[in-house]
Amino acid sequence: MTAESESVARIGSRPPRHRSSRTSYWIFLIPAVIGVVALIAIPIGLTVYYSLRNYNLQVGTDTFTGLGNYVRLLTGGDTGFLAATLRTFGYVVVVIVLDFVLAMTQALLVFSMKQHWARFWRAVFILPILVIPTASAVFWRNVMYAPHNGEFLKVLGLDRLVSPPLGDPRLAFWAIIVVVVWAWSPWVFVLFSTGLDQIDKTVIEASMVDGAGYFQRLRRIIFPLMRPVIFVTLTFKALDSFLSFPFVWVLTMGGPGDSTHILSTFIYQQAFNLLDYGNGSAMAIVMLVVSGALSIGAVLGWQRFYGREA
Amino acid sequence: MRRFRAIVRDIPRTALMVVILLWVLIPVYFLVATSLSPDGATLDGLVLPSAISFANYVAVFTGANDIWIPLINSTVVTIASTAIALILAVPAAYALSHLRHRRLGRGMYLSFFVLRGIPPIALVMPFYLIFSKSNLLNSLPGLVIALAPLALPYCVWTLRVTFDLIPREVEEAGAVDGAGRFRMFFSVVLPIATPGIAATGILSALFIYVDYIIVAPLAGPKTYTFSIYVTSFSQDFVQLVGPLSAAAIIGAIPMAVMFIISQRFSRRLASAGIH
Repeated sequence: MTAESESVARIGSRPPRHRSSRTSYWIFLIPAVIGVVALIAIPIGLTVYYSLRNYNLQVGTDTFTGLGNYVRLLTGGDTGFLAATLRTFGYVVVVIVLDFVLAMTQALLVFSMKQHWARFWRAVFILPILVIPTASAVFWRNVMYAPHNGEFLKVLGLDRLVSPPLGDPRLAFWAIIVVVVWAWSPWVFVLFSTGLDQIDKTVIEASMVDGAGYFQRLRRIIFPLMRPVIFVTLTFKALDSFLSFPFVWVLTMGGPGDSTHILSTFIYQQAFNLLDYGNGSAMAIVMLVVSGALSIGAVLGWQRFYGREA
Repeated sequence: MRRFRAIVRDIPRTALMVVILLWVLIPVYFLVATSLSPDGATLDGLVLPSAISFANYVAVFTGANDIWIPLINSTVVTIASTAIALILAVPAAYALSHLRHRRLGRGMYLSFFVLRGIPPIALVMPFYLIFSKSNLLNSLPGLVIALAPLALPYCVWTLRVTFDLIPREVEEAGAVDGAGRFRMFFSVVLPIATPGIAATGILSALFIYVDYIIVAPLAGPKTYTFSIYVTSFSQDFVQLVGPLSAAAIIGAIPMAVMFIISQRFSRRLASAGIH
């Protein structure tokens, strides 16, 4: 039912109400609006304020510089920031693709099983998300990727051939990706698996009677039915990967060199290690604008899928 | 013959399953085995620990680097922040559900989604600067205040769907009985919405519990949450690996509880946020 027909139907059956009741819903928004102003708008306003100053506790400067910080960032004056921005987009794309392939494979495997086995393997597949991200990252760093005794390379039989991955600028980024996908992709699996369970089983049984092969069924029936779930899950995952912080920070702190910095870690370092709050704030605002644009893009995309009710 | 054909057909699927299980379970094995190794011992490849010992768990609970304070801090901060977010978000979600056919109502709803995407780093810098001037640094109230905005937009965004699912006839019946707007909200709508609110609350609690970027600059040794505490094993000293693994597994217990409860309340996870 569309929004319009739904509301028309309701007007017909609506009992008489007090005049005040129509508008009084707005009162219920007051606590949240106060919360947003106090906890989000004022802090972000302060970030904007500092982004217009060269507030740096290490150098000891704090004067108004106008858009100076932004001009420097947007004209490529800070190559580290530029590299971190590009790397963040690469990180998002790689994580999304790997998460999709892995989680969809897991979900389809579980989907084809009998009920009690499905429940058991689903529980096994989600085990990694129970380990909190910082704990996963420290564990991978000190056990799986440990410099002298790393179990990861040993299991693959590469321990004499490859240098410890987190210390190698060419490997560190991919070593982080491995941890992120291992530790956090089960969320995507959970959402895909839930989506598959909501598919009408009779449609699939009908296609089996018709003699459709597995991949044909996948392409013609399961993927089209799953499209909204896939789209929503991956947009959420993309937005959240864009903001990702703990894995990179705990595993490498952006190193070796600056070879693994993504936006969150680069800005964090700028502010809390280099104490350059002016520049850090300007970077954070640039990041906020990008993430806001991505969020709006996601919403517009959903509305194309679901209509305006999304 | 038929049976043989079925087995052949299952080979690719079984092979795929084995590969995926190795991928998921090998690190899990190392985590569990390291935590159960005797004091200071480490594994060397895929072998069983030389002996099973709970020394690491004992060390975590009784040693100098003890787990109790971070666990208590995490519990307090998670519950308080989630409660604040829910108190602010529940009425708003209810209102936005009723106002969803109005342009402004829908616009506000969508703006909560955009707020959900605000980089936490853009929030934690000003909080740090404000707190350092007002004695809220290294304090639990400070952490509670700074973590609430992480959950608030998410809660509004997911809770509206919960209220959308409540049939309008329920409220119309209440209106005929003459219940005022507030009484209706508290005594008719809220009880029906409780499972949805609980599911949302638990998921946002989960994401507050694992937060690192907000807590790391604002907390001091006395106010470390669990998420920060585990990074204190981050030195490359081999002997800390055992207690670290034990702590990671202990920290997974609240995660498992929250995850299972949230699944039970609602299979509708489609908007879970993952930072």
